[in-house]
Amino acid sequence: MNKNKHALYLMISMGLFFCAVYLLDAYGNHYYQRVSNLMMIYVILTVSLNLSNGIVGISSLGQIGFMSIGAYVSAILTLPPGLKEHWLTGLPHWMSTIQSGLFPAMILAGILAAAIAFLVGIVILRLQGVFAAVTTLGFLIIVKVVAENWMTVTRGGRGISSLPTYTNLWWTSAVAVITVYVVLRIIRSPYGRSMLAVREHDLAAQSIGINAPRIRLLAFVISAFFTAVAGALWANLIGVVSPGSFYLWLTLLIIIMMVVGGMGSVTGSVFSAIGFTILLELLRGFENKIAVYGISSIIFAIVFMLVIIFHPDGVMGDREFSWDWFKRITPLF
Amino acid sequence: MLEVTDLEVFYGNIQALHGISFKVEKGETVTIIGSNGAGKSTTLLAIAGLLKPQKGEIKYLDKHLDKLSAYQIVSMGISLCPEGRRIFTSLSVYENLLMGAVQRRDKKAVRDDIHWVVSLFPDLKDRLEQQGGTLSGGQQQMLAIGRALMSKPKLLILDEPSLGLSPMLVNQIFEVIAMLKNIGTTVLLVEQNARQALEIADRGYVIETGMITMEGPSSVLKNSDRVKSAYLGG
Repeated sequence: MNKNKHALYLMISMGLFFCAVYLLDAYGNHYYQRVSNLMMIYVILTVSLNLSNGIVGISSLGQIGFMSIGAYVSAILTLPPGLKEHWLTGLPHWMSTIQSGLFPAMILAGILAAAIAFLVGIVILRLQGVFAAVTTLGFLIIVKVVAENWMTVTRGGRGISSLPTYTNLWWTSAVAVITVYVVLRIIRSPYGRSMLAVREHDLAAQSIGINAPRIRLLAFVISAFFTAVAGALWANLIGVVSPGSFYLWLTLLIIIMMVVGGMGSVTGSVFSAIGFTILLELLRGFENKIAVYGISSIIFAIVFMLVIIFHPDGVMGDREFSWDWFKRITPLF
Repeated sequence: MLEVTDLEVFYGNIQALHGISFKVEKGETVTIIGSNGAGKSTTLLAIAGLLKPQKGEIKYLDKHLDKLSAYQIVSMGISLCPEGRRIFTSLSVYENLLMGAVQRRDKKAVRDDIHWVVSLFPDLKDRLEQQGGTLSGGQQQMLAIGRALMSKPKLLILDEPSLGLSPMLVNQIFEVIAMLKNIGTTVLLVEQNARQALEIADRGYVIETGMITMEGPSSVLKNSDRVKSAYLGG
């Protein structure tokens, strides 16, 4: 009975969500559309990062490297052929004559990044903690250096511009919903329990027969897939990709969103990504108004520190949103 | 059933095991006693595949274990209940037990075995939905042993199951070990609590600074002067 009720609530809220998407997409102004798109992309990034770093406990600082790979793959696939022949002279002929739509570009971006994550993960995931953090950061740097110097394929530091802006709110919100759904399904599967076990006690998990390296690799690869898809959406939203876009700032931003939401809580990541996107936009407006530039970063950092001091496990810890909990805090129902 | 020959393990440059040899026959309960840092846990971690030995041989049912990963060793029927409980604190008691059967596909039998484990440790019965982390130390130890049993091991390895428990709980744990022994489980028990370990075991080994210094039937070890003065308090 209760279950049916919760399913109904979920359907109602999904319905409201997609109504909002429809309204914004059809009637919203450009600014709100842009911010909402970014918000959904941040949700995808934060939830994917949470799968590898929060739920399985891999200390990866390199996920944005997969976003970069995804963005470049999509950029190369969707750039109009005329420009491709002119700029990206290193591409094989058949590639420079085709132009793909967003969906195939997104999927290919995800698959390629997942394949790279698989190869990188076999090596890196033998390490843990700080060692994993340093080597994954190394991966991020390698991706950036390659993007900066592979002139004939990535156009180096100038980046690839004039991309068709296929990405709209329908795409970003649908992918965000799918990402959340898939990650939640994984957590609630037997694999999910193994993931939690690996995070808590690697040794104990192995001693009861969990193939811990494989579990870590699985989470890493899935996370890379969705991160790269977010990269593809980003590329075709902004219309430009350049090596510097996918680097330390974004890495830090996503980690902060994940930590504040709660490492291990998917719904925490969703709320946190939404909240921080709004906060960042409000601060930007505030900054422009008072003309003290940089103040938004300071306030952002203070918010982060306050949360860590008063809620060291993040706002949600490793719990998930539940309707029972929602009812308790909103006596209206 | 299990035969360890000339096992040597290093932590970096430090040699923890200087060539250990011992064996466990089917149906036996064997104990390894020794003080802190003698190399007891290291030996067990090497058997379970959680540490790679630099030298020596570990044979189980005539197969070599040294090159296998921990999860493969579990699938061969060896289950290690690690020192310090190591239960999963954020999972419920029921889920912890379920995790012990992570490699098994016979879902119905797994449920029956959970009932069996709970009957061994009645303390867990009313706490199946409780989070592992909220249990007392003794209950956590019972859960850890129960979890190790859930893989239906042919050889159960217990690392210091009585560590940090009150005398009454220690007795309870040893009663369960005796019961497992009676139903034919092969047990390798590592203990600092030499008195009770020798009471329950068929044979014993004494390990000191990474070497086996004495071995024999428990009844002989119990009455040896060296064991008495070093481990049984005179």
